Amino acid sequence: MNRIELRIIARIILIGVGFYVLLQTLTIFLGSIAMMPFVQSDKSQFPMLLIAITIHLVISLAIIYLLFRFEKFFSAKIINIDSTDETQVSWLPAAFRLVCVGAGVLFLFWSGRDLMATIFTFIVNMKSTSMGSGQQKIYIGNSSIIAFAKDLVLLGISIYLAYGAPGFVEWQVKRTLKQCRKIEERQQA
Amino acid sequence: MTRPHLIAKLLLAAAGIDFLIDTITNISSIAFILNLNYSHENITARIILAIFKFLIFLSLSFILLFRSDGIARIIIGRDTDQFPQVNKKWIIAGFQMAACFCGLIIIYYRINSLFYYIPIIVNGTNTLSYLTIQGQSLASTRMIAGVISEIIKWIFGLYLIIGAPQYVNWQCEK
Repeated sequence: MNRIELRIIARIILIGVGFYVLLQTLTIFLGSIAMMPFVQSDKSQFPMLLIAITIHLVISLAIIYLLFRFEKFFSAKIINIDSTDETQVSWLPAAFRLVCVGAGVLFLFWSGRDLMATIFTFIVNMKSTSMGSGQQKIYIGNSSIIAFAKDLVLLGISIYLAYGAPGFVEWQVKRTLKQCRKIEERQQA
Repeated sequence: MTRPHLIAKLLLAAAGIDFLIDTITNISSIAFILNLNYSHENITARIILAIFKFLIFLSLSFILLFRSDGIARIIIGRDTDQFPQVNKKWIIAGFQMAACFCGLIIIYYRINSLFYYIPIIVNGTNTLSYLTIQGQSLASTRMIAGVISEIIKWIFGLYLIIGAPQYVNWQCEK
């Protein structure tokens, strides 16, 4: 498989991820809008919910726009094999990088969605428990901190993977080449 | 192995991993049903259904992971036999990439649940008191089963991230 073929696969994967994000975003957006009239508890939460959904929609659309608009640029960045170097080994880091970027963009969307949900839940909970007992406030405060910590950890992992996970790719390539060598040695023996 | 055959096998292996994860999740469902305070007939029917589901998922994952040659051949058709055979390096790298991608997704979800289990373990099972059905608290059994299935998933996810070496060797030498 040469560089051009690998770039085409990269573009297909990026566009595939883009379509997935688009579908998910539309599902969340339309689902939230449809559910709004049935929320009976506190109508004052509507503006906050709308803001949270709109921010999420804008971020998701920005990711989709970037994936569709600059897919050639991204695929060229991921498969940055030197045109003079078409050896068997050179495509390996590029292919692993492609896997990491694909997973990273997907995780970025999931973690962004969870972060927005955490922020929204935190604000709504703080409002509803402003008159509650001290213990209740501490419990909600603790659960929000844990949720924030989780979202930040996942967001960090997502960004690292979407960036191409240089250290991880290097480690994976070394492992793959080692395994190839072992199998070749076993077959020769 | 031709290139279309390899691609079909990779996709089937990824589906097999998904089925295996569902199978592991079923373990906690069976433990959950066992702890329900239903009448004798109800619980027997539910357990039979849960075990049936568990066995179907297990067999599907086994077929997709270890006996997918025939299915892959049906998917790609006989016309693809004229394609050149792929290099062994592609088979190794292909399976490692599929394993790595699935492993990353599994670990992403495990990190999510890790943060769910931490407060429960720290605060004790009292925080799950809402899980009381028919006067019986299900928190402890469900949590133990959940933690066991989480540990199995962590090990499986990490094994996939390191490239599932034994599985890849087996696929390559087959």
